[in-house]
Amino acid sequence: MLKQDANLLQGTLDMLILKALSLGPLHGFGVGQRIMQMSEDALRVEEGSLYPALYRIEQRGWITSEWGVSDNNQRAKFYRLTRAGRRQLQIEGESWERLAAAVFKVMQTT
Amino acid sequence: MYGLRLLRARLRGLLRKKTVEREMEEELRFHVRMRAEENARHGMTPEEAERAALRSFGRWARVKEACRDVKGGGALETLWQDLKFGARTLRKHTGFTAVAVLTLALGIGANTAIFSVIQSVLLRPLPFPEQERLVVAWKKDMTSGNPLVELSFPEVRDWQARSQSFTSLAAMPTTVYGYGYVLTGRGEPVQLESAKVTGRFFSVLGARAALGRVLDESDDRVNGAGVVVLSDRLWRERFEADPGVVGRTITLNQTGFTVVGVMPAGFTFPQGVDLWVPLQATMNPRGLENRGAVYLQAVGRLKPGVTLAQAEAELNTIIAGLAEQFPETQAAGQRVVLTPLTDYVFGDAKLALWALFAATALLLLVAAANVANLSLARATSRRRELAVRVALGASRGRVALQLFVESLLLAACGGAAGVMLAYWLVDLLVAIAPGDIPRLEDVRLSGAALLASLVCTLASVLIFGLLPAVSASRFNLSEALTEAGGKLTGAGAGSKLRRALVVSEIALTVILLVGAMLVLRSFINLSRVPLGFDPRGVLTMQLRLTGAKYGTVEARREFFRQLVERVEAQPGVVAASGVLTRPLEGVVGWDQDFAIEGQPQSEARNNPNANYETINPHYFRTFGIPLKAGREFDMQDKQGGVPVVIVSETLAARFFGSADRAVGKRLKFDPSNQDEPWRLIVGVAGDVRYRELQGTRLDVYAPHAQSTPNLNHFAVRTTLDKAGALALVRREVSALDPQLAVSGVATMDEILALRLSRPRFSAALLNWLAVTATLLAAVGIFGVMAFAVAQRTRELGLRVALGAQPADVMKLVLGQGMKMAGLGLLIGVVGAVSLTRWLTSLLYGVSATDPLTLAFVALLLTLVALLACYLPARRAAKVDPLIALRYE
Repeated sequence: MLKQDANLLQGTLDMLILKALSLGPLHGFGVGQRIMQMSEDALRVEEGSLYPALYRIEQRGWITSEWGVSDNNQRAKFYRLTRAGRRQLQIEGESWERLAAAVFKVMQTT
Repeated sequence: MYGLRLLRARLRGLLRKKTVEREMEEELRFHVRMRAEENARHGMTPEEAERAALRSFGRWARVKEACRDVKGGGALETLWQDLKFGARTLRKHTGFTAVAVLTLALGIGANTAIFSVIQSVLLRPLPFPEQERLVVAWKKDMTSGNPLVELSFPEVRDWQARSQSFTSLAAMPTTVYGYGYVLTGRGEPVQLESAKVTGRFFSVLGARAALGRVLDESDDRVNGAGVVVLSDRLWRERFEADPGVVGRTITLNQTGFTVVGVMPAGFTFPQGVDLWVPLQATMNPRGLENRGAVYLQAVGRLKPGVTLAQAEAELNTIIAGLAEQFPETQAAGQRVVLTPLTDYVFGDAKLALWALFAATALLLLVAAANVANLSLARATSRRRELAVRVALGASRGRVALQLFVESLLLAACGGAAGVMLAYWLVDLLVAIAPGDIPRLEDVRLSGAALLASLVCTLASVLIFGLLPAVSASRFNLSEALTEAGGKLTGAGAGSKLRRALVVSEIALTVILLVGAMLVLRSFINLSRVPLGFDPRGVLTMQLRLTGAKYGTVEARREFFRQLVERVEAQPGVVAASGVLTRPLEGVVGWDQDFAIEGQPQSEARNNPNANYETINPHYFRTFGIPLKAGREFDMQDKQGGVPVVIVSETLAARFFGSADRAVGKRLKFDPSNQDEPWRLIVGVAGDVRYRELQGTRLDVYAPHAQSTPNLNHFAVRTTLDKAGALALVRREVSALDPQLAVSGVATMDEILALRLSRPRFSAALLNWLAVTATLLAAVGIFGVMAFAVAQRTRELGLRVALGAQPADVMKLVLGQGMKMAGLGLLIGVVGAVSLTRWLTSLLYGVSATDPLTLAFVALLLTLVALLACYLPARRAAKVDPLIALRYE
């Protein structure tokens, strides 16, 4: 059971990261910030989950990384969505919408 | 795609660990700085902000660990750690590792080496295309029981004309013996063996010449041109590998032969031959057409789809027809024997090698069982360690993997040591193997053998790596932890498995020991057979009188008379004589049919053939053959005198009742021949093992002065050493005729050793394997019992505390060990009885199910088992209850 839960949460986090990066390249800190902004401070991603997730997604080939310079002139690693990542985001987004709609319907039933 | 990328990432994580780690560190540090800036923007002091950032980042180490899980070497890293850990564990348990690696190396090494030999000698195809269709044919006589009746030239020709089963048939002599040529004009005169073959011989085999051409049907002409095909060996040794040799004339037996071709190096059929000459061109035309002159066998290539049985049936019909057509010369009641060429070439070497291979396979099984046992025992004694690891969160699969990796490491070490051992053993095997095993000189450690050894290694890894892994990962955690403190029972499933392994080890060892003992006893029996002659001090050699000078029988007789006289005049010489065929020369020999005076013709026809020897007067003295009655030949037994004969003891007893009664009676050779005289029996000699060590036949001897066959061998009994005796004979031979070549020089002791070399080889190797297996089995029993005692220390202590005497404890442990041994023995004996019958043709004077051997092996293994159990039992008896109950 626990494992499945972890999978679900992990999958969701992956999707959020992909979504955050779909608007343009970001460094790790920026990804966390953007998710926070987009959720209007509702979702705060733990760093202990964020970086492993980034590495994992990178290994799947959905994002790539390169070293660059941040706004405040520091060396930072920037992540960018790949074409495969964009496709993956679409798939995950659709399936999430279906799931959310289904859950919503269930919860609406009285 | 994903898998590949992941593997690359993992490998990078593993191999470029430092770089990956540094990048990760930098990225995370950047994150902390950004967080701190963010915090400062929200109004914290820089110090506060920094602290808060770090706090929110969680504990550095944990984050890094989580990242490393993804970023690092992953499963590869786990494997690497397992390997390192395994190597450390193996190094720590030196005793265990040494025994296990040694055991494996022995099993794998012996297996690889013997498999290499079998592969090179037996499995590698002969250099003939579609060799499975090639057969060698002769006949057997159902009436007299003679298993090898040779063919006459007209008979092979009739077969060829009437048979539909073969694409073609060729004739060749059944032996290379007696068709030698002396090559002169190329250095020292040298005696060479030839194969006299009909023109189709090479096309039947599908063989081509390396240079020039092979013989063909155009060479099949009576008194045709003298042509010869050379072997590669001869071409290199005597003709400096000169391609210009084709077309040149060489001198063989003082006659010119034109070289038409040279065979490739791999072509050595029949073995030991250096010349191939056309049969019809080189045989006496009268003898060639004589149906009574049988000395040939046929080599044939079966038509596609024709089976051996069909061809045999057809040829049997043909020979039945021939027997009706030529009743004088073609006996009825004969059957054709077709032997596949491969069987013909390898003969009983095949069985001996396969028996050896079976023995090494058994040894490998014993070795694998032993290592499995050791690993299992160790896994069991490590239950607590493993249980703790499981309790700390290692998954069972992870623990099993760890054990498996450890076994793999062990197998790799054992395999490597085994391959090294195999290299060494192959050389050793080739060095000590009897030289008459075909193609032995080509033996090398082959790729297939290495592969086989690899398979062996992997198989043993599976056997002894997975068993402990399964049994160790199956255990119940709480049980293991409490058991570690308690140890009241044996360790359940694991211990049952170990017992089963020991039982099968003992059973396999019994089979191996029984086979080895049987072969050893056969060898001992064979080496003790009464030879009928005294081999010590007798030097023998081939000496063939060739050339026009010796065209008449008188000239040949005169040569030998002079040679014997000259040699016997030398100091140190006891006696000397020529002989048709020296004893133990192999299956070759002259079969002579005979009739006793007064015997009805119908009965005489059923007399078995006798081994015929023609000799000089001092033959019996030379070989130390005892005379049982009458006299030996003397100079008075000459042409024109009363024809005389000496018979063997068995012949005398069979036809006359006793040796004394035989003297003065008469017999006749070749009864159908009207010109043959009755010969007076003047003496009776002891039986001699002429053809093979396994048995005697009937022997008849005629003086050379009254018989026509050539004396092929010369023998001299001296008080000198071999070199001295040989120099003496050479000197006297060349004094008489410097053109003559002496060859095949050997003392009778050497010939005897050669005859015994195959059985000695098999016996030595099998026993070496069996002793190794016995040692391994002993180690196995000892290991299991010692371990069982160690595990039951507390229980045993309790028993002693409750009043058990040391003797009772000892009995308990011994009883347990002997129960295993007994079961193993029982299974082994049943297995041995059902398996050793395959050895029958390797055995002599002992039955395949010899009860004495079985009993001896059972006793031996019981003693070994007792000894192996005794040490642990003694330790058990010495258990101090106080210490035992506090144990652990």
